[in-house]
Amino acid sequence: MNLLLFLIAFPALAGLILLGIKNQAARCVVVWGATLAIMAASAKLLFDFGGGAELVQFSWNPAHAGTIMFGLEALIGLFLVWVSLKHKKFLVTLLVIVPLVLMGWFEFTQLHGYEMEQNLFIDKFSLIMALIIGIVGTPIAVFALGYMREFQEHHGEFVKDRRPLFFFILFIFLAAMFGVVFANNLMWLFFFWEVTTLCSFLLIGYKQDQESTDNAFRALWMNLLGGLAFAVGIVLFFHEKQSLALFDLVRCQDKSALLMLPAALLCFAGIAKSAQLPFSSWLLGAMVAPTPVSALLHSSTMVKAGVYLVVRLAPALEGTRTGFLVAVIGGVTFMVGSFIAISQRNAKKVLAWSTIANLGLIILCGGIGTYESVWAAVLLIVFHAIAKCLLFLCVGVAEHKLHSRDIEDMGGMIISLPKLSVLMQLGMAGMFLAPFGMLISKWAALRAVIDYSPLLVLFVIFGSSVTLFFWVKWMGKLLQVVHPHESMDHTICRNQWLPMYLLAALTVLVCIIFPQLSTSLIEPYVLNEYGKTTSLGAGNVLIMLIMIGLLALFPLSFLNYGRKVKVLSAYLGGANIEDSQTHFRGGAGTTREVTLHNYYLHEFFGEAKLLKIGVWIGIVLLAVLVTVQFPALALLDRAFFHGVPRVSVGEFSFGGGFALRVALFLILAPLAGGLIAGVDRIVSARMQGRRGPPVLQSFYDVAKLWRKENIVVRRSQGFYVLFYFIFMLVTGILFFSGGDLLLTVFALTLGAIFLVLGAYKASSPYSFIGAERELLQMMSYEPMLLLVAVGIYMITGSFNVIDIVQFKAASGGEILAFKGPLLLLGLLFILTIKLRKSPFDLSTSHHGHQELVKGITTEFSGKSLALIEITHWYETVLVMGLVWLFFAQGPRYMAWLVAPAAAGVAYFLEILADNACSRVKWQMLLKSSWAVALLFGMLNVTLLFTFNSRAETVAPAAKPVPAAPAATVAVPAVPILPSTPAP
Amino acid sequence: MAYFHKSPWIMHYDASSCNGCDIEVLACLTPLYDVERFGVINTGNPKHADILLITGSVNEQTREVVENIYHQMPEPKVVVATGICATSGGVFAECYNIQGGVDKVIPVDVYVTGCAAKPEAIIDGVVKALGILERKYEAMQALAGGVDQMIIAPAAAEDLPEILALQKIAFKSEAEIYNDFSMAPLRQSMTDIQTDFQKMVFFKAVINGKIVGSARGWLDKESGTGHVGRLVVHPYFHGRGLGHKMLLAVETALAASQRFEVFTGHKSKRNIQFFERCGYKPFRQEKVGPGTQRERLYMEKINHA
Repeated sequence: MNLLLFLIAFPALAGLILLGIKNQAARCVVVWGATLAIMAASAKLLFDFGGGAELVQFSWNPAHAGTIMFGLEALIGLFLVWVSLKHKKFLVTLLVIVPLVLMGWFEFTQLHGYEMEQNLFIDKFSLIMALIIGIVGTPIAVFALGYMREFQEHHGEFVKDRRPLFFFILFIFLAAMFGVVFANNLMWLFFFWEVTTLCSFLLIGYKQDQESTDNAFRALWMNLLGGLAFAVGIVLFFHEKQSLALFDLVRCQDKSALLMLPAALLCFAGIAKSAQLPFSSWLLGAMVAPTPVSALLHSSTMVKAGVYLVVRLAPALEGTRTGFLVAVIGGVTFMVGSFIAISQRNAKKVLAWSTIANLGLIILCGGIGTYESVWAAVLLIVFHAIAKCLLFLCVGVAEHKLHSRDIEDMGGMIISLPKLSVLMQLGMAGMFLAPFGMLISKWAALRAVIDYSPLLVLFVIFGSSVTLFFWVKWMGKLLQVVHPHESMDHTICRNQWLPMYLLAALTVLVCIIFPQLSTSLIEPYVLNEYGKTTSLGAGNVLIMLIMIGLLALFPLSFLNYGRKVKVLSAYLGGANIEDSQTHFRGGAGTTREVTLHNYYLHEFFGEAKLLKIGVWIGIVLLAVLVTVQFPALALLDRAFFHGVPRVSVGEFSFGGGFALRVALFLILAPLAGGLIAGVDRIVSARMQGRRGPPVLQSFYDVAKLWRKENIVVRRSQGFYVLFYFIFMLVTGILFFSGGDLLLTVFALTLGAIFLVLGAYKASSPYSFIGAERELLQMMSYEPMLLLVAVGIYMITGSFNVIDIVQFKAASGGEILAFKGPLLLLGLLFILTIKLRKSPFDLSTSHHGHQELVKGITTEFSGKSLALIEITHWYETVLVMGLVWLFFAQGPRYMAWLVAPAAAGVAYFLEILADNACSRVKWQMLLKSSWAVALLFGMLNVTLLFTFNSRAETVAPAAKPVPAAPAATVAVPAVPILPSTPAP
Repeated sequence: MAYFHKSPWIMHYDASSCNGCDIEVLACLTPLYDVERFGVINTGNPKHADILLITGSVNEQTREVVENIYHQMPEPKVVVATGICATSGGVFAECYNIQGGVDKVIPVDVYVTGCAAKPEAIIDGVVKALGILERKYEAMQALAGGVDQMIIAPAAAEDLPEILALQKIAFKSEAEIYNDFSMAPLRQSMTDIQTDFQKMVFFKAVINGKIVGSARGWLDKESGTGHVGRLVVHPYFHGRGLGHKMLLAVETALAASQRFEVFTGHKSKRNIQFFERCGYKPFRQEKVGPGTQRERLYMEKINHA
């Protein structure tokens, strides 16, 4: 317990000392000392409590603690009243006074005689949070040392140097955060909660100009509103239960309306604190603050207090309408936030929106409150905190060096700030690429959501599909080649490098030790709260390890920096100026520079429009949330929400004959794919009244390309192609060995991302546009592809391809195509995109002689191009495998004859479309494929969800599991799927 | 079998044609002629192409484009000049802005005559080109390294103009670093380089018949120092070990010296790193002259041989 007290008290003490230090050198010493002490203490926490013990509560009840805290609260309140009156923000004044009066009344009249003994506690979740604060959050103070010195140099004439205050607040904030995660007494929790609000207010307003002040007040009133809800929640809870213990609320089995209301109010507070819709605008406004503030408060730590509270309450929320509404708010925020991030050019705003979105996903998981979703939520918290913190720091430094926050100005950072850009890309990879954790967490979240409500599935699917778009295009921008600059890396000081290195190392480390992290910290917590837990499963861990192993090879690419390639400048329509990468001869003998701009898709994802819609939806949902028992809601229950979630099984298992099938895939797939491509060309020729090339033409082409010289713009291009190839193989192996379908879909997209990055790297205008459009295509087909996986799961009850193929055996008489006809249609539609067929061949323009030249493959030649072609063969076989899957159930001849024939027919239809349609604009692509996903995909999924009969069909095969405690009010318990929950 | 004759990918460029030949080229793709039967693809991209099919004579405007496109095509490659204008300049041959046929700018392998060239003739020309393509590939294979075999050899007096032009291209990037375009290598005249040639050892690096690199050196007998200078590689051919090989050649030629000395600009990081990799160490740095910010970094290496 002393350690806990130390972690709360020591940062506050350090803060007080820093308040008195004006000298930079002395400040350095104190900040370094305090940081190391806090980190060491956090690490010790892990040693002390990382072992077996679950929940440890501590009896510590100093005399008059309540009164002292109220006194402090009153002081803060008075200060805020004074500030708000000074700035004529009367709403704030009101929001300060009301809870203060309420708390005063509560403290002195109601709580009389109530003594709470066990005010502090620690369990695995608190431990994880403490580690995040201590090890991810604290180094930011060190970063701030160097950053704030530069900040004052840059803005010195406008901004008063108030660094002592700055560091004081930073450390007070850390203390308050430790308080939040260790407090069991709700009154204490509330106190620390309000302190974080105050810190955030002061730090946002650091610059003291009009904009900062306005934004600070916006953050203040929104969080105070949350605080008010918190206060009311405490009072109501005490009124019901005569208790102030957090755990009495969390583990409350009675889910009546009166007890759900406090939970709802606390969630309200959490939603405000983590900037969910309708409160998102405060976090955007908070980006005016110096970067360390953004990193510490607004990405990795303070906003995590909000999600901490919601996830902490998850057991109470499980299977309730309150929980469902909280989940919907999170879901809407996730989707809207991700959408808006696409349209942002300002790097910090992209980070802010992505933060809001990811917090939304965590809130969604918390709201669902099942053990699976909580597991996913905790994972998300960990991975997001580290990667996002790293990104904020990188962007902060880049802003100082490039004098711009605009992503368009970051072009070529790989040359001007090489080390920084590598760190930045690592952070981004951490946010969305496999095998880094965020992707796995998203995958887990999606699985957790599926059984719960198709509405939430919609949010997760669309939200995560667009995520890759804005990250990859940003990455591409960094990789772009521009005219040579000198590296400015050396101008970044050590105090800034060290925290960034630490975070980068952590990003990689959590990715490697993630199975261990899950088994030793997250699973015990989930087990403790729910009596059961989930885990990745050995097979999936294996896949992850393979991916990590592959990525570990990436640095090796520098060793073999190909002697066999010829480096030439990019194709610029032949108008290149000899020795320049980026200049070309324009009209009338002028010299012009190539400029490349990302897509921002304002007409679809403009902030102004979407935010307005989002805020209104948020307000309505919040209003419904606090009036929980909204009767009309019961009508929606059946269609959108099952109340008691069904338990699902998610164990990965390799099917029989694993090695044989993998070998067959590796050998036969390119043969089949090449033949398909040849037949494709002949059939196309016949449709045009020509004879066409020989059937083996694709093999001739590849054989020739293999012998040609390999010309690249940047040497690393070849390695991106290699990784594209390898990841496609891994994906194929995953699918054809009977692995996880959802993981297959994710991996399929990831492979393609490598090709996109390679094309970005080449930085010719043609490959650049090709890359952008390829991303757009991925974003277009991803929702439908995920919906296909989800729908198949709903029909068969499993994500494992092997189970899906064998599904028929148990149910008798049906193939997937009968149960998911709309899914099949939707799949056929997006196959046109995936197979690069007209009208959707936006990225490659395979008919040649079009404005794109050869789009994404423009700058590849020789062996690289041959490898791309071969990878495309594998890809063809793989996506046709998805069609095959719809017909492969039942007797053997189905899988061997009927299903391949069906896939053949599907491919013929694609060729027909290819020759019958002209290419559409990207707007049409996006609109039509999302419309198909919404109409076909969602309709089929919703129908399956409503009239699902799979429980009966599969049930006899496995032993039933005792129903979870019938919890919710009006909702009928739904049959429970067979499962083998972990002990 | 090398498959080149089974999969000819064509890049079609109109250098200044009246579009008569271009129409006929496109006619080859139509159902009547259907050249895709032979695996022909009309790609719009030099980096994917095997055959450069040019119509029209080359004029001032298109000369650079033709050179660029040719340069950006991967080896082995062939050029088919299609139509009488591309072959010889045709009726435009004497025009003030016309360079002449395509072969005035890049090497041409097949000439297809006609005004306009008939589709049958074009197909014939392409088929001829396929044979040449195969032969070129075999020739490439015969050289040990396959594609782009490089030769390092002493330069001859007739190479000097080409070397001088190369030197000016190569030093442009140096000049950009210091934003100083008055440096000696950029101003050197033909007479200067001829005097240099008399006193120094001169090496050239040749790839596919074109000089892409050069280096020179001279021995100061009094101090026993071998001076290496003007080590240049065409920017397109950086990073392929040409510099290293030429440096070795010069050092071998000056084997009598006790130490070698080079100098480079103090901000030219790439150069400094290159010389450090080759065993040179910096020992002195001084201003080039009054009125410039440029400083010379002198580097040396002891000759152990």
